[in-house]
Amino acid sequence: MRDRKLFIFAYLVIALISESTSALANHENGEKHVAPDNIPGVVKVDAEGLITLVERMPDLIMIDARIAKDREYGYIEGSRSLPNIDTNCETLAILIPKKTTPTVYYCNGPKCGRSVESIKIAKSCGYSNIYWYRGGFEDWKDKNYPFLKDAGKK
Amino acid sequence: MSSFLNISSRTLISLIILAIGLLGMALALLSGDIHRKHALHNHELSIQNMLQLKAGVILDGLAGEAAQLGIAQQHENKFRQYFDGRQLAQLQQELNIQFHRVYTTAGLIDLEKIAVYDREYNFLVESTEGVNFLLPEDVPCAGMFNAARQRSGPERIKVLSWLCSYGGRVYQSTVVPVGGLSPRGYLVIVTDPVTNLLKIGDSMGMPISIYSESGDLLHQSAGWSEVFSYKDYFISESPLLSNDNNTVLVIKTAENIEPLYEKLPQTRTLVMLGVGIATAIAVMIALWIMDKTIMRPLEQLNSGLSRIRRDRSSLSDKVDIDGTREIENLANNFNEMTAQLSHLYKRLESMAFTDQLTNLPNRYLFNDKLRMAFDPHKKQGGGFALFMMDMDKFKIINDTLGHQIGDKVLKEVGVRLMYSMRGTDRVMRVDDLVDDQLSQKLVARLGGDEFAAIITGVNDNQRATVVAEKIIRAMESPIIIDTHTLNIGISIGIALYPIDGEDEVELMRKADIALYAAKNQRRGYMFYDATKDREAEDGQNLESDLGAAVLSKQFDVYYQPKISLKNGEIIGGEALLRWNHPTFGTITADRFIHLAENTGVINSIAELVINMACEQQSKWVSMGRKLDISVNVSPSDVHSYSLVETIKRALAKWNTPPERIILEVAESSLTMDRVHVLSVIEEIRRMGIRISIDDFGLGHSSLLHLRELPIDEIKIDKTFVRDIVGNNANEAIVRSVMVLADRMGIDVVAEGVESEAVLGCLRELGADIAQGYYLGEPMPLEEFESWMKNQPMSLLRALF
Repeated sequence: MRDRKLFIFAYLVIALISESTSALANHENGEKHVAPDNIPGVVKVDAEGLITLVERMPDLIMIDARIAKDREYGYIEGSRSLPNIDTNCETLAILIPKKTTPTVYYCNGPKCGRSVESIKIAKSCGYSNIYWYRGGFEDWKDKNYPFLKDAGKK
Repeated sequence: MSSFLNISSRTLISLIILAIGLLGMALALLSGDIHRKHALHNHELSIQNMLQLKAGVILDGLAGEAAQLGIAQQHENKFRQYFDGRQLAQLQQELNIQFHRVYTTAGLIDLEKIAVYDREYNFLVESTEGVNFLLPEDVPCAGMFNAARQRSGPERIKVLSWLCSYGGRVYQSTVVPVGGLSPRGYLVIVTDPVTNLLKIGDSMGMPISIYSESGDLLHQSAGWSEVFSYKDYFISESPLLSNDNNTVLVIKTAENIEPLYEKLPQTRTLVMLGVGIATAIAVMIALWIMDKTIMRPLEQLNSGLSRIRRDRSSLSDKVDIDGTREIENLANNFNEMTAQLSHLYKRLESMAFTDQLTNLPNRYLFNDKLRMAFDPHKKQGGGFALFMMDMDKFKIINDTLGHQIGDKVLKEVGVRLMYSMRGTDRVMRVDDLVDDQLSQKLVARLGGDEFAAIITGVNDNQRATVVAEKIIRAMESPIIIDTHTLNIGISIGIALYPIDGEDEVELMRKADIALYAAKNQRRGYMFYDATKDREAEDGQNLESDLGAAVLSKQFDVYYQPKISLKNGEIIGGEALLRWNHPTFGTITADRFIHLAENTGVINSIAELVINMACEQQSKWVSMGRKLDISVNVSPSDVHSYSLVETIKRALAKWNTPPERIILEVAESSLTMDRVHVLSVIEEIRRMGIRISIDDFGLGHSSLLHLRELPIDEIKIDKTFVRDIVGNNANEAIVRSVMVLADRMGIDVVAEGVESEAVLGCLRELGADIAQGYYLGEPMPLEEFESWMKNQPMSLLRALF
């Protein structure tokens, strides 16, 4: 009988431990953010696609969804800084003249969710002509495309 | 077959397969070599590919580093300031600073020059640091500016990197845009890629050396010279192309392939072993198949053949064989051949013991049967009769009518003999003397016209006579062949067992003697008579001596007078031939003429006697004697036209008056092929020679036919004349012949006048001419001449 009790106790202990570790794992997964492959209603472009958009659409608005600190290391020429955390219908309206104005969003890269966040907000605000450069600045640099850096800062 | 191929098929096939195996080995080795060369070539290709790839990666990396340098530089505040303000001197200084910083710190690239161009790719300034190119504004890979200008779209702002040779060295020039999406100018970073390319050797694990397009050694890795100390090494060359497709570098890799070559002999041995084993297995399989399909059937055939050789009776045995199609064909043909041979052999066997003409047993079989006939009958005491038979006039038939007719005659004789022997003649029951049931008869043809018969159960004269007479009767009716009507007589010699002999040789000899006797005496058949034995033996010797006798003319002519009964005058003489035999003395014609007929010298003898007669007649004519000479010719003589020629020649030679010659022809001569004989006789008669029929009355000539004959004289046979006294029948015959002859104007000569009584009788009958011992015996010429001088008076006395 003693053995039986001990067995049940041990079982409970093991069950508790496994439960807590799986919860911990879930939490870690939640922190690691990976951008989805696609956002419904949004046209995804790569670096070359972005360059083509800039050439073809003079009224294109390019929004850098990264925080200001990230932008110090360089940015794509012509982009305007609007970090996702500052993005709402009002701030968007300042930068984008019309709801139908073509707009492209980027952030650091696939591991960065800021551009996705910004696009969701923009969509909810009624913007329709949205492009997404999923590769972001990381991809741009990797491909040795030229970028700008503001002077005086290292 | 030539001697070098005189080996067994097994060895031959083995040798052929071994040769094929060796060929296979050689091919394997050869193809191995080819394969090795091919593999090495492929290896070189793969090394080249790998080198290209690695070089591409290194050059891309180098371009990336150069781009990083360019981007980093344009983000310097001073650079931006001087560039945008076109302060070129300061910009040059800034470039030199940057050059130094990178050159001393980075170490990743061998920086050779930094140059700045405006947005239209026009030269602005370059660092004074680094190598000096030929012209101040010059830069390697100047061609890339054209390529850069022609770019559009996203390519427009991409980093462009070219590899070129310049002044005997190799450079990589990298164009980096200054600015963002719309470049404001360009930075050109010139680097030396050789040091970086040397890393290829490390990553590929083999030493490398790099040569310029003109073949100058640019660089070589540490282990390069070591390679050449190895026994086997492999060098592969990979050209590196510039962007405008010129070879700018040649990279060689060296590889130690000693281990590979060490393994080669091992592999070779393995291959040889494999081929050898495969060949051995092929040989064994081939031999096994050959043995099963060819060798064993052939051996079966061979044993079949040797079986037949040992025992001919197994000729018809079939050999049953399973083998290849050719072998089976061979076996079928073999079987067919042996079947035919078997048939042929049986035929030959039957031919060997059968006379093909008459289908009677031949001499061999007859001798065999004769031998066998002896033993059982000694015990039973039955005995048998041996008949030796001979056709009387066969030689004449053969000589005059040809062999084809002769053969037909023999055939018919055979049939008649068989028929007469069959013994179903119920009419001829002679008190059951010959019991047909117990009597076995065998008729055989011994050769030529010789036949023989064994009649078992017949061992005394009486019963043998019955059989002999049956045979003679069977031969009596003429044989008709084509247009010829032939009367053939047969002579039979009989010897009896056990009375006459104890073995076949003796019995045959005695039967032969009896046959000769029968022939000589012109009796149909004769039994063996011990008293005549000697004579027959002489006859045999005489026959062989005849030829020589003709050549050396051992003959004399005796003359027997022909007397006219009217006036007792000697009117002529019959020339009778005598043979003066060196050992036997004088031999009369009747003892050797038939022998002469057998041997064929008869013609020569006829010629001889005719000539002697003609010669003598000429002498008599010159002496004034008026005497006829009668000459005898044999039946075979009158069958031949050559007799006509012989007589013609003799008459001419001796100038003999033909009317003084009388040719005596035996009556029996006329019975055979009568038409032909008559034509010969007529021919002779036309010459003026008279024809006399000799031995008249013995033959079958009918008196009625006499008138058709072209004859002048008839000589009545002595058998009629001799016994004429008191014999009414003979007297009637003689008288009727004389009456008939008188009516036809033919002279009649009575032969065989041996007594006064006969002479008296003949005179009473009114005979004209007579001949005989009583009147005058045959005499040699001198005796005959003197007899003629002295005798006429005594003759006349006797007559009148």
